[in-house]
Amino acid sequence: MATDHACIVGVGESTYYRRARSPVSAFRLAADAVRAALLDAGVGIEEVDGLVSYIRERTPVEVLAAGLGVRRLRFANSWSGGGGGIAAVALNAGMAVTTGAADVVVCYRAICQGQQPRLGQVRSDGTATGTDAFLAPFGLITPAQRMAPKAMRYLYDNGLDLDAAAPVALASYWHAQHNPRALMYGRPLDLDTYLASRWIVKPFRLYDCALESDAAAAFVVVRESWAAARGLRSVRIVGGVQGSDARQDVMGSPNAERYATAGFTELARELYEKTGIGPPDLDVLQVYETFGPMVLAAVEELGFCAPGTAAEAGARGDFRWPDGPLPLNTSGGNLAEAYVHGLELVVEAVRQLRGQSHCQVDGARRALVAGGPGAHLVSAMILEGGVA
Amino acid sequence: MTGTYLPHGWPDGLPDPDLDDLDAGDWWLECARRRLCMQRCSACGTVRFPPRPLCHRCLGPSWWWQEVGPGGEIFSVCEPHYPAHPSLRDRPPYLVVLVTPDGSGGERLVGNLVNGPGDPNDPADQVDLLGLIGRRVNCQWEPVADRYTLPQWRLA
Repeated sequence: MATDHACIVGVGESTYYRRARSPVSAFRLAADAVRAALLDAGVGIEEVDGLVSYIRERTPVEVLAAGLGVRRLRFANSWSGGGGGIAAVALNAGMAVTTGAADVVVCYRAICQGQQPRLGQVRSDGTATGTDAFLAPFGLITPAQRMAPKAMRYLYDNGLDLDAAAPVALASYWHAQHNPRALMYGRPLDLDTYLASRWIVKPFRLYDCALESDAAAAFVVVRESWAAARGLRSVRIVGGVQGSDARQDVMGSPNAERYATAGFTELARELYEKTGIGPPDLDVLQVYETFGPMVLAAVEELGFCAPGTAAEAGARGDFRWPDGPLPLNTSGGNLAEAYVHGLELVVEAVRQLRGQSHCQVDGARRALVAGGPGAHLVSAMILEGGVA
Repeated sequence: MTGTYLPHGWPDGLPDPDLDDLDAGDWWLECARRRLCMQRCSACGTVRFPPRPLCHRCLGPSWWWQEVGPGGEIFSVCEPHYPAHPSLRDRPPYLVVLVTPDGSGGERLVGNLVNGPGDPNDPADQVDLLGLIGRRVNCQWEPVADRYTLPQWRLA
């Protein structure tokens, strides 16, 4: 009997807003995104029996399940990390449906930095514990600050300068100009503007950091046999990997065994071995881009460029649709579409494989999705269209 | 030294490190005595930081404080500009370094570089951050009020 793969049958999002512009709550945006994904799938809310999100989701799975009137929640799961989990949430949902723990699992994320503490601001509650106690007193607090020395060391190791990751931001903004949903639609970015932008924390400029947004996105995971029985179109989750290298306990762990990496060295090998698919077979890349230099590291570790050469590839235009050979973050992603903690990148990957992207890669058949380069927990997966 | 590198008690309302942590509290006591220490596994000799109840190599529960430094080498660096807290709004950027102290077996500490090449308080584009990597530093103790003492770093 052929393997019954997990697949994605629907994707959707809320209206995307800039930070603090949403007139409705994060709860409402989460519900909007889930309903949009179900509508796109042609699946009723009464069929949903599983929900998956990230840790620290403000509308956690049981709360959203209750709010949406889910009759019986059979699979409730939160990925232990943050934006490193854009593939992991799909993989966890996939494990649930292929083992029969649940039939219809919706992965979602709502992040409203206008309604919740901003990731870039200090939260002053309680005591700095665990590894945080050895970072915070020195002013290493926000995700950008904690990732910055890692990025700096990557630049140093590869003989690059502080502006090496400019092509990552420029590609995202380029793609956003074609995507009316993108918050930066109609706001093109050129290299001079990038170089003149302020530092958030060296080596990250303003445009290297995710766009603070009020936004939600979702997608629906089922078994291919379940989808086929209902005549639903599906995108296969071919395979994926998740986890961390040794001694990565918090973002920016100073004593990670592999420090100046995106975290994909081992995972990429496993991903390609497990799926029998390699970089030449992949048509489009969605790599969580917060923050630029770590995307370069990820593109190298995932096998698309030799070590130390992704910056050069980007500067040549390789990441830009329609002419670049490595179209990257084709909706505008975290930097220029909206920061939905990366889940918008999964939505875009699925649209690419259905021929529905605003920057449609001709004949796109397989997409690579990679979450959280440089974060302590990361994940990656391969999606394939037109197989079921 | 009087005063602290970052604003005194910085930032206002930021949590202090947990000095009572059962795994790490003693490290802060050693800092108060101005002894820069890392744990050394009694069984396999692996040096580790931050303080943990077990050796990550051999899972041995016994350890002793090995003094490291006071010299070391900058492994990486960053320079926060965006004020992550209101108390930083009118402050210049600051330098955060990862330092490999001598005798640490490669284990690293986070700290601040309290004297840059040129003053980091000057318009910040002046500091060659990549050029700091690999530079030698020495530990400089910085008491924060009477609550705890931070190991900071000066260029050698």
